[in-house]
Amino acid sequence: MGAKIIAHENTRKHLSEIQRVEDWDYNFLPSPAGAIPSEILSANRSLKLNGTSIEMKPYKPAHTDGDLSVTFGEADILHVGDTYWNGIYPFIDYSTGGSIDGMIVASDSNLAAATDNTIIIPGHGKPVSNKSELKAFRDMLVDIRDKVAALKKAGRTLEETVAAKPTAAHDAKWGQFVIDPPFFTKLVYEGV
Amino acid sequence: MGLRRKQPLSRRHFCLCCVSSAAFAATGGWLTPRQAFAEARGLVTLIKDSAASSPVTAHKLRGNVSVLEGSGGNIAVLTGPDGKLLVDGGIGVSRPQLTKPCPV
Repeated sequence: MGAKIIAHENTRKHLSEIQRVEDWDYNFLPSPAGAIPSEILSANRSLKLNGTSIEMKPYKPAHTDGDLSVTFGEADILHVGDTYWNGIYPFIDYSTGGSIDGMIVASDSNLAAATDNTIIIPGHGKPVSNKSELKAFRDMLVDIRDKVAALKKAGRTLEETVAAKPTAAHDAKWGQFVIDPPFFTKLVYEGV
Repeated sequence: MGLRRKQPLSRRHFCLCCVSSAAFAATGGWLTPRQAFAEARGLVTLIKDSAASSPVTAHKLRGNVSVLEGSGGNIAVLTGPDGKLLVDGGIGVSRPQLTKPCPV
């Protein structure tokens, strides 16, 4: 029995064709027919299932151009997908329209949608989070964006910017995983 | 990110949750683009291999919503008589871990 898959319209587009992710130097092959979303959305959409109110909201391009959030109303739970990586530097996919500024805009919108009681599920990292941890993620993104932008504006090359260690103040907390400080610096540099 | 009922799994979400950072410590400093690309190619394979063997654990949240950890990112699951609803699909290679224990 097949599943019904709902996704952002751009996600269906990307899943249907060869998708090159430049920063991984990797070409993802098209998904098999059964894994292609059968329903798409490009605007907010509500759903009632198992007695629960579900709200789906597309983001403007952030991690990719196909991100969306899902809210479980009664339980006050917000899944924010890959716009939030809890405790680790995020990957940002410029190949599909993602950007550091888009990640910050999405973080601000996530903060506005949450209260202190909301359980926030990040796309990656520790799976149960909250507004204050999300705020720390957002503040980290803004600080590194500003530092990298200043270096780039001063004419530093990518290599010089990486060597200047603009993420240093955050590395102990956020830089201990796959997206390491030089890689994250490169991702931010690309978008400022 | 997709919203899905029952199974199909996404290749778009890497399982970064279960890859040891020690594996990447060897790179040392900044890499040339060519080296970085070679490294990235290895990363995708490593991530897939790791996801294939990573166990999936469930955390109960509130109401009939839980979150599954260990398959290409964090998957929310809503259960009930209408069927299961999954938010975010994880990575295809961890399908056996996701379906076998049916953790929630």
